[in-house]
Amino acid sequence: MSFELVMPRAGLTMVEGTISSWLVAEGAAVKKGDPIMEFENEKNTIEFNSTGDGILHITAQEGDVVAVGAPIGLLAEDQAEYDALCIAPAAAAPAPVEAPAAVSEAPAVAVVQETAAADTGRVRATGLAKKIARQKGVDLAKVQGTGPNRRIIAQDVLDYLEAQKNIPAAAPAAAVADDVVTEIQMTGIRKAIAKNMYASLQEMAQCTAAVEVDVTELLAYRQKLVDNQEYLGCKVTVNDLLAMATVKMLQKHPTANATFDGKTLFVHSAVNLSVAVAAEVGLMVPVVKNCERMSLVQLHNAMTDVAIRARDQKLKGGEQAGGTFTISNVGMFPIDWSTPIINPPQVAILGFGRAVKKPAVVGDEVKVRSMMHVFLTFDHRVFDGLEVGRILADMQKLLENPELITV
Amino acid sequence: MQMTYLQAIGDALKEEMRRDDKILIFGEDVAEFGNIFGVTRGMLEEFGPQRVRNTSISETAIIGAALGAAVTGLRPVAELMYADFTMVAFSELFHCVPKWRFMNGAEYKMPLVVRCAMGSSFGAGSEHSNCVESLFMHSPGMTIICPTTPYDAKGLLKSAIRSDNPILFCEHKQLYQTKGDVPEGDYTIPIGVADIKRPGKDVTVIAVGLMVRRALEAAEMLEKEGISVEVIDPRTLVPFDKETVFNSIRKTHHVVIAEESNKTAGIGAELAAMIQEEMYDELDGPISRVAALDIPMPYNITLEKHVIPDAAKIAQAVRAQVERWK
Repeated sequence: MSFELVMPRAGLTMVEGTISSWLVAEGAAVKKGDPIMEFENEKNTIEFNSTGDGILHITAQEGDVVAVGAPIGLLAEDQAEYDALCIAPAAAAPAPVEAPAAVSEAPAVAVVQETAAADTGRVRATGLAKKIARQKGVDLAKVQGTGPNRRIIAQDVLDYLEAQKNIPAAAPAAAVADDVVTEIQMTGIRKAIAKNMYASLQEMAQCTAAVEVDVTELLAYRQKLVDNQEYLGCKVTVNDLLAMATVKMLQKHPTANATFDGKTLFVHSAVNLSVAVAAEVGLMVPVVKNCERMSLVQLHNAMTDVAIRARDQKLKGGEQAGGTFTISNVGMFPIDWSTPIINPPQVAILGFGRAVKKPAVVGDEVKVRSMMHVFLTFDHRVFDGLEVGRILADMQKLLENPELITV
Repeated sequence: MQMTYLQAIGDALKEEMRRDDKILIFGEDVAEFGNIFGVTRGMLEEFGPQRVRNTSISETAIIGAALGAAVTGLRPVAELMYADFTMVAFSELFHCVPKWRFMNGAEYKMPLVVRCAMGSSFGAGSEHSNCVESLFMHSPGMTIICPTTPYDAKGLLKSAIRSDNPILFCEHKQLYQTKGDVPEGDYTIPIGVADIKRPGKDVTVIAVGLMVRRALEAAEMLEKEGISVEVIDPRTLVPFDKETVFNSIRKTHHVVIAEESNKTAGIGAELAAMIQEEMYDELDGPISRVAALDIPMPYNITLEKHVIPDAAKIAQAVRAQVERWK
């Protein structure tokens, strides 16, 4: 039989003591009368002498406030008994004085603090309690169990729901419009975006690299195309040229035109370009399929079509699926560069910042040039800086020599 | 009309024998002596020695003859005196009686009722106090009835005699002298329908045999404590009326099962297992069983009383169901 050590009463008024320190280690053999612990009451620090012989198993730790008479440790007769004490559930767990106090301060319906999960990390609840929690969307970890063994019973879930109902009702009465909180539920498109973006950053090893490109020539080339818009039948945009350049680049770098499921990289021969479109309802990413077969004008028409329908929320089901690579052009905003998030299961996304006239070194002279950042977020699980460097080098070559784009 | 449980059983036998001359009774001391409890008193005189027969003290022979009579066109009501003696005819009762209808096809009927007196009766000891229902619940095909009131006993015995299936009819010794209201004239109670002996809303107590009365006593005590107990008497253990019990659980979400036989592998073990399988999401805590201690029944009456659950033990189990952590 193990021998129980309890918090002594040192002085008539003492109701609890705080353990300052254990003077011997857990598992040490102690003899009756040995000083083994120091505790404090309201007045003093007092030495505690062992009240028995045996191997010490400490159940109340330093800093614990223990009621007079409540257990602080056990003395085992032999090693086998000591081992058993160590693995046994703490039947003689310390009775910290705070616990009952907290309970008495708690409202009639205690909502959180001490939960069934607290003891073991596992929520104990009855079948019925679980059913109600499932139906009402209650997280049982937040419910205090008052059934046998602190099991959560049905009434606990109902009490919790009742208490939750009262919380928002009480708040406005207390706070007078210092802060008006409007709850916006994440629904529909927003919810889907939230889920997708979060999943993307959870699952991949994303890394962004950027290069500043001189787009003076590109803008001039585009102007030339605009001048010939009647002949072409459309007004080519900078975005069209950036997209076309991306298609060219991807044909040289097939591992970027790919999808990845964590085990297998699926490299696609078709370039199905996901085009990020900022719509009021949220980001839309319609897909333009088989861009590798398109001329610049065809690409322009296809991209204009999906962009308009995306803004008007008229995309058909499936038109946002099946992309192999995404481009995101933020050049219409005062944004130089960003770190875009990859659209899973793709492995990279290419962004374009605004074109800004700034001093640039051409040859050995400083000239006014139109400069633009091109930035690539890539999944580092799939490829490394070497490939990224080559991709950005090719993008730079294409954008600085725009005639290559349409070759 | 008020009558005892014993009279109700006797009346059921007589009324059925008058109705159908294929019905006959045989067993130890059922003729001149009129059964050790007096159930068949006067029947020899009314129905003659062809239909009311004493047998030798051989349960194997009693059941063997009864099942032979049943499969060849008669409707025997065999009596085994004490339920404990079913063990002497265990092979017949476990294998032949319940299974032969399945094994031999639809034209092979087994209109056999085996009556026996079961349970404790103030010092009868470990070989004359048993409740044997759970043993035969394990043999598919046996209908098992254990009535607890004169009304139920009469109505169910008539249904049993009219059934073409084998039936173990367990009468409780301590109930023979209890009285209750029984209507005049012919009536039957369907086999397989439980009876809510007392409606309540907090805890369902499924009580079997003598425990029905004790559960009702417990419910009376608990009502004063503000605990409302629903007492269900299954009346028929096989087939078991799940619906009545499940409806009660849907209301109370707490179950206590009270039986007089030993706890291990008893009736409560089977019912608790079945209920948790089928009603897990309705239970707001573990099912508890109140049963006899797992020891041979002592003949000493004080000890016997300690072994068998009483109202206080049932009440304690009910309280534990609704107890909250403090």
